[in-house]
Formats: sequence, C-alpha cells, structure tokens
Amino acid sequence: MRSRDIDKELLVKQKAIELLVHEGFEGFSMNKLAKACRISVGTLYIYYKDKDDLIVQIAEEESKRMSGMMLEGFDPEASFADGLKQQWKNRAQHMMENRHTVQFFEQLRSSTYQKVIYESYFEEFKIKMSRFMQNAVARGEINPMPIEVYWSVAFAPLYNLVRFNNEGRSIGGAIFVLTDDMIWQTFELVLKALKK
Amino acid sequence: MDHSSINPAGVLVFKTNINTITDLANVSPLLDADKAVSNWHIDLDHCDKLLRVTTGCLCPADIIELVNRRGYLCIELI
Repeated sequence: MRSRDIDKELLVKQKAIELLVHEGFEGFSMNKLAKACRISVGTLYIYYKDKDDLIVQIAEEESKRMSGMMLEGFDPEASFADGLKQQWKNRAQHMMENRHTVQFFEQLRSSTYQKVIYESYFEEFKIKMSRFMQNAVARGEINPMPIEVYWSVAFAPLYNLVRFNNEGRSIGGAIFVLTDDMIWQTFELVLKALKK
Repeated sequence: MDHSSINPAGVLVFKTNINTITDLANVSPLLDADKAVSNWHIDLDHCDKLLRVTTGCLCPADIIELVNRRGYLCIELI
C-alpha cells in the first residue's frame, strides 16, 4: 500500500531542491528525482502531478518555512537596533544552513516562476517587516525612505556576505569563509548608515 | 474489487498512451463526467504520459476500464 509518508515527503523535497540546483529547471526530470530518492515514479506522482506542480509546491512550502524561521524571536515593536540585529541573526543563520534553498530561490527569481515566491511569503512576515520599519520612522530612529532603499541598505550587505560564504569565494575568486566578527562589523556600518 | 491497492490519500497513478492533446480531448469527457473522480491530470511531458487520479471510492480497475473504453492503454503504477 502506498501512503503519504512524512519522512519520504521530506526526502523527496530535499532531493528535489538539490537536483533543481545542480541540473537547473531544464535538466531536472521527475524520473531523475525518483531515481535519486530510490522510489518509483508512481510514488512521486502521488505527491505531485507534474514537474511544474512540484516546483511550485516546493517553492511555496520553502518560502513559508524560510519566512517563518526569519521571524523567530523577532519583535516588530523592538528598537531599531535590536530588531535589525535579530533579523541579521536569523537571516545569516538560516541562509547559511539552507544553502540549496537559497540557491533555489535565486533560480526562481530569474525564471518564469518568479511570481510564486513573492506571493507565497507569509503574510505575517510582510506585515511584521513593514510594521518594524514604520515604527522606526515614527520613533524618529530612521528617516522615511522608499522600502527598496531601506532593504538595499539594511539587508543586501548581509546577503552579499552570505553569498560569498555559500560560494566559498569572494572578489577575484579568493577563498572566503564568513565569520561572526565580519557579520557584526558590517552590521555596525549598516546601523550607522541608517540611524539618524 | 480489490480495495487493498487504494492508498489512503486516494491518489492513483497510471501509465498511459494518451500522447497528444487530441488523445487528451478524447478521454477528458469521461473523467470529467465521473462524479467519483474529484481530480485528474495527465502529464504529457512525461515519457509514460502519467495519469494521476484523486478519488475517494474508485479502484484502479475502474479507472483502467474508463480509459480503455476510449481505446487507450492504462496500467497502474505500483
């Protein structure tokens, strides 16, 4: 009897992300995935109706999971410095621990599936993130600015460091490992740039 | 009727020779009309043209019979 088995579903999801990252959307196939998971193609089709359905479902589940993790211990009412610090902690940890998922999101962003990730982020995540920024403006901690400007200063530097780390190489191909010291050194600079 | 092959999620998967859009149009009315079929999909991109059916009460033989009625091959994947 075939049943929806939680462990099997997790294995399928994990292998699917790995394969999608390594083979690209074009090179990926349901047959390859079934083989990698050592399950029959029939079993795979119990979970997903085709390749497109698989990519969309996994993208939605992963963005919900990641946005949920990014909210751990985060209080949108916290002071700007404390709240941003918690965000950096969460984002650095989860993006380094879920490298394949991060790469998968990059692929999605530059593909026809782009819409899926933007739509599936937790509503709670979007609300808390914008509430946090509005609070900081209202308390006079930061100047009002377009959300894109805010994001580019507040998070893009961290994302770039994590990218260097996950790729193992930085500028000019130099070997690179991100340390806590570097994260917090960059954080202080970001804080200085944003705080009034 | 062998109910042991109905999985708890009520999803059945078959290999078919429903190769083209025209073939698909031939079997669609039968699957659409069956009230016991809550959902169905054929992956024309897969080499085995896999048919996925969600049903609360039908067994594989019922689906096979349904697809065979239009002259197409349908084999359950275990």
